[in-house]
Amino acid sequence: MAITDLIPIPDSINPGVTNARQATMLSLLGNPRDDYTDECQPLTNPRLSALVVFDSVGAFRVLGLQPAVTALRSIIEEIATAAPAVHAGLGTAGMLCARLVRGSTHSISNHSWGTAIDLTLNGVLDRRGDRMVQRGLAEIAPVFNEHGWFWGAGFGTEDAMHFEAGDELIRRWHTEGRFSTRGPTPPPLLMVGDRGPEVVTLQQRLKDLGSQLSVDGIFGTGTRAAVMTFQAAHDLIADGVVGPRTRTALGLT
Amino acid sequence: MRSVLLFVAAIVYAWPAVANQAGASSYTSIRPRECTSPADLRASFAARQLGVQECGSVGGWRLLLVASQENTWIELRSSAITWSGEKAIVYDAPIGLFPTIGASPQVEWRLNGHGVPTALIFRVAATSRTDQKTRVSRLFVVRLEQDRACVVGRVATNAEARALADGPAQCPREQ
Repeated sequence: MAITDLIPIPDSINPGVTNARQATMLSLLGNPRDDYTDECQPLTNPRLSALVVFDSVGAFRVLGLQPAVTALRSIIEEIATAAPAVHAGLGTAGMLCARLVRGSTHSISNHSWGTAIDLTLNGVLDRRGDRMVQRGLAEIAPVFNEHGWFWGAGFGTEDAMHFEAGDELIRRWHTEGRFSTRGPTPPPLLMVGDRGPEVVTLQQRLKDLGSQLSVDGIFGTGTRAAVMTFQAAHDLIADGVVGPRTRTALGLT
Repeated sequence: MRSVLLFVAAIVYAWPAVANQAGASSYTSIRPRECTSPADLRASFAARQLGVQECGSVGGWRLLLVASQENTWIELRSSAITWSGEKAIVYDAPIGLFPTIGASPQVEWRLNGHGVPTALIFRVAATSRTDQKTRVSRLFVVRLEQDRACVVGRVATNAEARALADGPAQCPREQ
């Protein structure tokens, strides 16, 4: 069986790993640029720019945020031992791309901070959204997970070529001062622009409580409205952001 | 008699204008502020975690600009067909990293002698694989037929793109 052969998404992926929330990225790393277009553009945030490196991670070279590039090097070293056939076919479709996701509620691409990477196997990009994944990607995903990286096969719309430093890892890097700043780590927030399994859980909970919400894993304006309605009914500040208090009131902690 | 004369005059007057349209171009904007969110399609794209805008077009085609976290591509719809550029732009030997539409603020429609669009030309830009800092781009040429559309080439210059668009290349027919 070739590493590019397609298989269904395995069960129980991303154990204990959450995809990076946009609120976490914005609060801990800052806004990568002052303005965005459809195209990838260089970072204008001076603190982030200073952390961008173009370096080898063993199998290829990447342009990304220094802590993420360092972590990738370790991951790929481990893949060389754990899955040599996959390692031999590894390539990248890019890491850093600060741009707007036009016409969506996500606004900023999750590649805008240089902490996510798209991988190719034997030069082939896994097709997004078909709920099938390249066998080789499924083989190396646990290695990424062990290092705190989230596999994009777990998004509401499967994106198996995509791996990103998870929310917990981003927070740890912040605590360790790896982003050139220290300071208190803000509580985890869910807000417009976030997506993934956590959003599915939130939407399901809101639906269980009577909201007419579609459970699609995307925190868009509909989810925001449902959160605000819930907050208003529970004497919380109706800002549409799910922080610790709203989370507790929803019974999600 | 008067109406016959008017009819003949209309043909004489109109004919050169129509004839001159052969190999002519019409340009439509793909600037974000000049495109709109299509109410009838927004939800279906959002369900696939894709952003979508509808931009101006000609000849009865709908021109959609679709965005994922990594890429953008063009989707065309007519009463007969739906064509997506995702495969050609994102998966089939992409020109670089994170290929997207938008390096140019407009697309070019090539028209036949009757003003019917026969090809669409648009620019795709990407990050260079070599240094991952510079930008590369190519013009994609899409043949538009009544019941199908397809990429017939990707080239560097406007002249090459127009030559390809006005040339004999057609979409492959199913056997």
